[in-house]
Amino acid sequence: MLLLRVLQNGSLHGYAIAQRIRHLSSDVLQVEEGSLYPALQKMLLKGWVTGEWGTSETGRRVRFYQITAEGRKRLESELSEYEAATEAIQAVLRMA
Amino acid sequence: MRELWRRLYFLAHRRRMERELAEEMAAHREMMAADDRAAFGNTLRLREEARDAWGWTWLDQFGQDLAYGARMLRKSPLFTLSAVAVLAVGIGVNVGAFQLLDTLLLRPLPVRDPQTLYNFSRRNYNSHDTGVPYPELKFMTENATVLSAVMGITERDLFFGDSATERVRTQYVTANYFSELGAGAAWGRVLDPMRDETAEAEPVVVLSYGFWQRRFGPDSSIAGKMIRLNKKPVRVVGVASFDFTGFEPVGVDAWAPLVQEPYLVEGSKLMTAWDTSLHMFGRLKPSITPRAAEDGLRPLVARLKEQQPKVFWDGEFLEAQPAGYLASMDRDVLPVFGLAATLVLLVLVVACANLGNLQLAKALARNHEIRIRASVGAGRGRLVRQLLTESLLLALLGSAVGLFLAFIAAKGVLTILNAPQFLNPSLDYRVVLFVLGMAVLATLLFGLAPALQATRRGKPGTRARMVLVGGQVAASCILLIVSSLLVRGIHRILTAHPGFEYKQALTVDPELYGHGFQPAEAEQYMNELAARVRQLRGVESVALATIPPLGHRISSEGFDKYPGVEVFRNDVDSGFLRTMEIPIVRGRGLQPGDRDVVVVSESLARKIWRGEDAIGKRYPRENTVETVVGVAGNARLVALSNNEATEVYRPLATRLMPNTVLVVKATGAPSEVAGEVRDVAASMDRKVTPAVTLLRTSFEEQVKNSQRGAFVVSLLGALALLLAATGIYGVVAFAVTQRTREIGVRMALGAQPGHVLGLVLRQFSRPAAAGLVVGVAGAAGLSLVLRRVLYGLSHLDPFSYAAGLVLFGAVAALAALLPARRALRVDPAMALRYE
Repeated sequence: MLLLRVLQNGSLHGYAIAQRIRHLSSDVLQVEEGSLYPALQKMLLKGWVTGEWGTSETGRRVRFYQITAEGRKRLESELSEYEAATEAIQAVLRMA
Repeated sequence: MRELWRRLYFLAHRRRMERELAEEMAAHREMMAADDRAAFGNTLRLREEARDAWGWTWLDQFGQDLAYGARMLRKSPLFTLSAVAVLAVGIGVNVGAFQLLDTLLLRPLPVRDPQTLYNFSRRNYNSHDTGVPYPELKFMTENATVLSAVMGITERDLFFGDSATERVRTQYVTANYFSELGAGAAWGRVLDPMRDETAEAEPVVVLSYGFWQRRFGPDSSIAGKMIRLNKKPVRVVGVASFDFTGFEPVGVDAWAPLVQEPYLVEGSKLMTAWDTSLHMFGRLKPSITPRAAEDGLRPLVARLKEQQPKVFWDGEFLEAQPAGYLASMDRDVLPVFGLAATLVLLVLVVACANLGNLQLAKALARNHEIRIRASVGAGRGRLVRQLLTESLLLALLGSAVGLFLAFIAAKGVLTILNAPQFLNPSLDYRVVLFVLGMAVLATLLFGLAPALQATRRGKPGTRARMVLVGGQVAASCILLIVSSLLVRGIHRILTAHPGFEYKQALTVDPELYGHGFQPAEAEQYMNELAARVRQLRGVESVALATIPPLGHRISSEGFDKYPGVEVFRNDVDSGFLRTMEIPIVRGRGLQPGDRDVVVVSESLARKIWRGEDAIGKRYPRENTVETVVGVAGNARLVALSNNEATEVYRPLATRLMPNTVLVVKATGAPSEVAGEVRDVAASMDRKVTPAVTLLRTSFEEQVKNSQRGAFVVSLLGALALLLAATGIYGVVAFAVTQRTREIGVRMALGAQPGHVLGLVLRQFSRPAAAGLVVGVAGAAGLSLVLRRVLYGLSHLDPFSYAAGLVLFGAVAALAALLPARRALRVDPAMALRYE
């Protein structure tokens, strides 16, 4: 979900995706950066993202990932599911 | 769906995909700050995880297993060779049987659009008749809107040559027969509706390729020549192409237009009378279903019933059944098919159990390797999969060889059966699928138990081995008992007296009904024929009967009060029982002038009156009052293989005279008087061409099929026995090797030879005993089915069971003792140094 959300604003390469997630979460979400790639492969297979080779800001050949229509749909449904879940949790927290 | 495509795309381009992934990850690491790179994680592991996401890991592993398995098989060629041989036999038998089924039942006849061809027969709620009168057929041809063509066929033997002695099996067909089935001629032409259908047309005939070859050799100038059939000149217009089968691929010699039947069979009313019968075939119009065709014909039958109320039954309709196949899967075929399938599967079971033991021994020998693999992290599932892959490889090899064997076997069987040429076993997708299915089934049968056993933690047990031994014993026992039941049953049919004299007898059928004889005319003819034949030298006695013994005609009746009792009926003159040497057990035989009396067979008397005396009782048929005056010995006149057949004999009424045949008993060989008898019958009426049949020939023909069946089943039994024997030999030999040390110690301590033998063999006694019990029970169950197929069989014949078990016991004991003896030759000193 996070990957798709990050990609929603435009295509990025792997390193940039990792950077963005780290920055946006203020360094709270720190995982093995490499585990990004198995996840990206899965999403390529599912057709949620497409990859295209290009040149990075530093002149290195890298793959840019771009979200597809299917990916957006998926993101929406995941977000609404997530919201429903958090709302429910918060409701319980408030009431209890 | 699209995901599957992407998956396949990934598979196809996996090299590039992996390269890209690696490059991408390297770039990522470069971009990270040098001190931070540990946060990326293990590159190799991550790459593997990414590959997992593509979902092809199992394929990689399968490939590795396959390569490894192939290496293992190459390393032990002797094992591989014997395993493939055993499997080839087990699978080959099954594939061969399936190939026969495929060619005989599943493949359509080689005619044009066989799927739309249907046979139509008369049916209502309780009656069925495959014969349709010609006037009805004609009416349907003119009026049926659901059929694009209607064909009629009827069959009668004609006699070829100047003396009219050579039988020519002729089918009279509507002239559209060939064009509708899309058949051409090898020479000359086939029948043509435009030229041959009219009554004024010249009498013509088309010969079958087989008959032409047999009778006229290579003479292709036969087309256009005149020949004589039933002493009448007929022009041969052509020879049908060699692959033409029509609806009946075997044994038809010639086809003549239906309109010529009255010319060839003088006096025939086939084309006009309502009590005649033909086989009716029709081609459904496009998009008409068989049910729709039946519904479409229903009002037409109803219209005919208005005109001929006596001919048609209440609620009668024409039932449509597929005609484009050689045989159909109906209720009669199913038990035979099921039985055959069970028997061949049993052979596979024996083969797989045999091989399973070999695999098990091998897996135990590889215990070391398996332990190492397990300790470096291979899960049990992964190990089982690897062992199964090896087994699958073996099974595929075995299937390939088996397919080859099956092909040869099926070809051989078809040649023995004298099957027509178009029945050529070939590889179609059904056979290929079946072979693959067999390979998988075999893999599970012989590979699963050893794989599970070998990978079990802790001390390897012997349970799988015992189960496999038991299975082999059970399956081979079933096969042996069933084949000995069959062989004994056939033997009994062949040697037991059928209850009447057939070696000295012959029948003469002048087919008076076909020639339009009236009852009084026919009576005069038959009586004169009987009187004149009786005068011939070499003739002992003669008699008249409506149903010729061992002929193809059957007439039977049943009773409402005794459901399940089917009585074969024969209307005969007073000399019949004496001529056929059927004894009168009680009461008297039929006498001249008898009316409203019957003589029943002992079997019928027992079924209906149980212990009581049948004489003087009323025969239980509805609508008649007939008294039983005598009980005759059982005689299987029409159902040779049915030893529970029941018969009833009635005095011959004048009305049935056109349907009677003359039965002749000769003092010497009947073939010596046959010619004279034929001449007498032919000389009495110019129209008649009599058919003379020796009962001995009919008898031999009827038992031939049963003999062939018994032969095939015995062959399966022998195969199973051979497989089981080699299997047992292997298992015992293995057990001896495994315990060499222990045996050596015991011998060193002074154990007796008998004791040592017992030690080796005792462990097999329980699975063997269990296998025997299951085998006997299974054979008893199977023979119940068998009994429905082959009447002559006694399913609880103790001799057959004993013979099967003794044979198996002897061979199994031999197979076990040979390797066990090796245990006795163990040199204690050697054995102790062994390890």
